[in-house]
Amino acid sequence: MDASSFLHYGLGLVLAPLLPGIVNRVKALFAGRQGKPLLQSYYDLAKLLQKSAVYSKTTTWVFRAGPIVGLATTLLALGFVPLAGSAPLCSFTADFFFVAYVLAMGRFATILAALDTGSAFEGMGASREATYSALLEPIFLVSLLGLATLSGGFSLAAALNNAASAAWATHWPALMLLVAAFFVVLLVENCRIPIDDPNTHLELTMIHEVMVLDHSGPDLAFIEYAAALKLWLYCCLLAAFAPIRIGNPILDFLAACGLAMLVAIAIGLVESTMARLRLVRIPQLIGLAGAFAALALILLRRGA
Amino acid sequence: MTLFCFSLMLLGIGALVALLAGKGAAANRLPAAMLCGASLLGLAVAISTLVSGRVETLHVAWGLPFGAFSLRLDALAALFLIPTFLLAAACSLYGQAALAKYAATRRLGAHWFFFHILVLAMALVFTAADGFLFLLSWEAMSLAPFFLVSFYSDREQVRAAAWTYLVASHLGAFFLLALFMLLVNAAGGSFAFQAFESLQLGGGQAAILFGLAVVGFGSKAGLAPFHIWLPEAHPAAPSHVSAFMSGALIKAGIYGLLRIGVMVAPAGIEPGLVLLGLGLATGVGGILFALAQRDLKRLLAYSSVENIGIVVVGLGIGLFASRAGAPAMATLAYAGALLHALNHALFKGLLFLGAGSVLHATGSTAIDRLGGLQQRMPWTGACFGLGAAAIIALPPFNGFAGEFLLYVALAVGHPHSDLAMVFTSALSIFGLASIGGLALLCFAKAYGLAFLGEPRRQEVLDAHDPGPAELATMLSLGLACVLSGLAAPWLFEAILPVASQLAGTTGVPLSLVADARRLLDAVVLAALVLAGVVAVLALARRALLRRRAVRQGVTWDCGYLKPAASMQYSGGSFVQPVTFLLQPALKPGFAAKELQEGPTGYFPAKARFEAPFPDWILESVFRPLFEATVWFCDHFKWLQHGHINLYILYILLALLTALFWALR
Repeated sequence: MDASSFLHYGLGLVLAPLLPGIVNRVKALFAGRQGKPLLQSYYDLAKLLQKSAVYSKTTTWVFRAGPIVGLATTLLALGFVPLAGSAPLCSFTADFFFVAYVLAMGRFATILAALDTGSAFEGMGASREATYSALLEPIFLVSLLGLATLSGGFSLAAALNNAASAAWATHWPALMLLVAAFFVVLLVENCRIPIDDPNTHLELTMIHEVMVLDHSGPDLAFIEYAAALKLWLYCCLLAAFAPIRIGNPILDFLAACGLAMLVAIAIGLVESTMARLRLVRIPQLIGLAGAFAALALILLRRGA
Repeated sequence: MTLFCFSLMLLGIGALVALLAGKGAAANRLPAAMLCGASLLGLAVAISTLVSGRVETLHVAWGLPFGAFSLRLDALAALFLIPTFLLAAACSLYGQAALAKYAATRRLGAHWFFFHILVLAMALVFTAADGFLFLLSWEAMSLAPFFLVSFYSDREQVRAAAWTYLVASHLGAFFLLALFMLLVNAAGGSFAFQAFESLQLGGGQAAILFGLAVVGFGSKAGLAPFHIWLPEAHPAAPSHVSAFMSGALIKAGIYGLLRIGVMVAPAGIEPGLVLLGLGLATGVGGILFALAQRDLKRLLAYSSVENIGIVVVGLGIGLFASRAGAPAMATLAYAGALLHALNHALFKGLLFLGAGSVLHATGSTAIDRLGGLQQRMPWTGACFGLGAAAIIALPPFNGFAGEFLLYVALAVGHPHSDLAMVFTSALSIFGLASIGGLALLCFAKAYGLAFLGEPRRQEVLDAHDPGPAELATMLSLGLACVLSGLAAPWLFEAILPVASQLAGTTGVPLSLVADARRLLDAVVLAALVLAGVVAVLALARRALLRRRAVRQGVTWDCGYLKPAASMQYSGGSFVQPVTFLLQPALKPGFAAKELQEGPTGYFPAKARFEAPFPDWILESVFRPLFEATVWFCDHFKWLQHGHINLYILYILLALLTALFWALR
């Protein structure tokens, strides 16, 4: 941990809301529309922070704790993710289990906040979120285990930083499979099409958005910001796979940011070209990611 | 040892006092207070034994032809005595307050007598150094809960549950009897544990002994498929009894596996793999059944099955790794399993007591009849929520440390060159993470639907927190969950000698094991940072909302302005996606189907819908087995006809046979 770790972390905090803007721009381009400004997320956050809040009479402190715990856990998890081959703020052996459980804690708080409103819609969203994340959790951890085994580094930072330099030449099939598995994890965790549509207008079909219907003002700002940070986290995770190391820290950092934005563009492409899956099909997609991760592990062992 | 014997004596005296006590408030309070005092003394002794690591023994001559009254108090015993005495103290405090309303009408002394006997018997089980004494105590320990479970014996269901418990625990005891008879036979007639330890067992013999130990101890612990008594007995018992049984009693099975099972396990990696497989099946199966339950206490009972699964996964990895030449992995896995067993006592005790308070306040533990309790019972709700966060292993709380050690053992404990090891690890991580994800869903349901939202029934409207004694018990257990989460590094160090001994790595320097302590430090530090960030964000929101008009309204229901409590998601609908998806595991073809009676006629009055989740292991394996036994025994009914003259003939025949056999 040094000054550059703090700098990377701080820049991540600043740049994160740019990613939803990029995704929306790509989608607008495909649809032949002008689209929202690139910085729309920043405007939204600023506007929400200036507003007051409305709370339902049904709710308790659990509802108010939801957004705070959700944002705090994402902030903590982001501290473990390296950018551009540098050391992250904190890192220790087997920290990816800790990160996974910290993120689970944020999810638990969000689900409880949704149930606290007593709304049928939010209960529905909570149920779906809990189900899909329960299916995703083991696949996320096994993919990370595969990555760690491949790179020989057993912390998130070591695994990701070594993965970039690890032999794409010898292990490229396993790496490709892991990239695919992580991309599915990203889509599910960040509620993107084809799993969930953040822009839909029908509450019955939503997963994540329907859980936060009752939040307003600063609470909603916390939730939106946490969502942007989570997208940044996963984009950085995927960006770390690309074997680009220039040597100059500034150029490396710029390259990493560029890669993260490329991932966002890829998300936009997927969102523009695919329809949403039926809810019963989502477990099959998650299962596919699991199969990729398992296959990657098998290929790794065969190669070793 | 003197103090330990003193606390055992206090338990015995307390049992006598309870037996002599009649009705009235004093007959409730005095025995409970004696139980609490004796347990606290025992707890202090157990903690000092664990910390100091000393081993003490005691031999007392007795007049029985077999065995010896010899006790051995070592660190492993202390590790299991701690949750026993801790929960006994907590449950006596809670129980006397919860039972106070029966003090005038019932003889509560009998209840406390059996509670004293149960704690005394467990203390002897954990310290017995002799097979005969062990079996005797085990029998007392298995018998006493029958009377505790059947406290509300005027209810049909409770009686059935108590009988299920009795039969299941004695079937288990039968396997243990066989195990000890074979052991004593192999040891040349000696009942001493020391003699068992020095045995050189052949492969086949060891395999049989290990199988007997797994079935016998597994049925006490609640290992699938011998778990069937747990979900019956726990909901039927008074809540402080369920808390004690779930938190402490079932750990006796784990203790037996560690003390005897590991000792007799045949050479090779197979025994470890057997335990690992059973543990994973128990864990995943337990949590799947837990999340389908509609009754809070039944859900908690199945969740105990799941947690026992996690502990047995740890034992399995430990046994497997110590045979496969990965000492660090074995040590960490044993440490993780022991730590999880200890922590489970705290949070499961807390959750059962919370469920008991809900039952007391609303008269029901059916999740679909509750809701909105957090507003009405804020302290109970907070405690239950904390217990839920701890049981799903969220990092600042105590459930995380044990599972984290297991993950560390699996991910980095072994050289990544052995193919079998790599795939076993990956499969175990997959299993543990699945259990973790499903546990989150399960406890989001348990806490979210029972405590949050709007009340679903009238009875819930005027629910309130229980009295000060119950609240104090729950709050102290909640505090213990937080503190033992923060003290995880120290707890790990305290447990390490036991784990090293089990793994056979005592005195072997292992860099990973030393690292694990630092990893736990880092985890605790990160958790504290998280708490700090939460506090800062809460303050930030407060500052933002100051001087702004914060309004209250109804829940936003997409434009609908009169949301009703019955519109909320129910427990069944909350878990429907996952039960639909995992139907093959939950409800294989032969299990009961959804029952639906739709509204009929022009003026439909009534409709019915039922979606039962019967335990298919009970329904398809044990029930036919029990029915076959009944059918078989039915054929001997003619022997029992009520004619006293013929009974005398039986006696005569028996005597004659004995005479001829003696004169032969």
